[in-house]
Amino acid sequence: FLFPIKMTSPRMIKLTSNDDKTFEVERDVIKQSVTVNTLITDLNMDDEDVSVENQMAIPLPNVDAATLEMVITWCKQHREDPPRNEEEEEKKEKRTDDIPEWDKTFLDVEQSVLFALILAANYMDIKGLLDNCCKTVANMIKGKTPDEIRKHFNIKNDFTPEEEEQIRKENAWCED
Amino acid sequence: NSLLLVDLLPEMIDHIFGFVGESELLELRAVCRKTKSIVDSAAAARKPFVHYMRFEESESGGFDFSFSIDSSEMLIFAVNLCDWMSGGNSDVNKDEDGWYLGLVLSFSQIEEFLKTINPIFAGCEIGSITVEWREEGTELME
Repeated sequence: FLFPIKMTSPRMIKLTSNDDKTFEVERDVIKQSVTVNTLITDLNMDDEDVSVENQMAIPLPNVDAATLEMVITWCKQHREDPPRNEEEEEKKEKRTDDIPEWDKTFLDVEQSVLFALILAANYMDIKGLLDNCCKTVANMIKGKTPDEIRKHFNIKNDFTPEEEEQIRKENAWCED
Repeated sequence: NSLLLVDLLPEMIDHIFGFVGESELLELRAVCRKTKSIVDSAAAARKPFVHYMRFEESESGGFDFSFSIDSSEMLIFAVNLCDWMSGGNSDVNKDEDGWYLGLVLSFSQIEEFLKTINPIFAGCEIGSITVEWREEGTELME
């Protein structure tokens, strides 16, 4: 006997980057983006009767294709993560030594890529990704002098000599 | 168009700075105008718990003002105090127990003084405010 088995494929969502590349991603994966999740709900896109072919793509005007691909990869890796409790997160001690190993490797990219990911994570409201990106940048800042920070992040010193002297005095006073 | 740290929105930079320690915040104040502005704005928004504020009559006849806050809040508070000190009040010191400010104030000037430092303490929860003075031939009164 052959029993008919109903195969249910995962619900897919279409996302379009600002350079017009469309990605299909599982609903369960992209739920980590509060922005996308809210849009799906508001636009009633969870309707099972609408096939992915007939579905409207969600435009993400602030995210380019390369960055969106990385965001989706991160979301796939973290799809089983327990939902974040933001109140608990606020109370937690702010640490930077708790970035998961997979994320450390994933985020070991050029600074401009990392900053693009921060912008995307902020726009798409993916707190876990945003935090791990920011912790990675914070780790680059730690242990550096102002001059080393400028060199590392290619920042121009726009203080006048008088302002620099004033800050030096203030900082020396604070460090006493 | 390579994206730089300073190209990020101030609230994102502030989020990054939230993960660095107090000593790194001092270094970041000295990097550029944008990083200084972000650190100082965050400092101004943070209101530490003030365990006590005390005005104590000094030998010279004025009042010494002292207050105590947790050591972890010291830097943030110091940044605010530095701004205030640039207005001319420079006799501020700190030790392990708290911050001390030597001022010659008459009793009636205390209220005015509290108004002057109000921007620093505005919004802070204050454990106690004590005014102690010594009248000639009497014990210290609270």
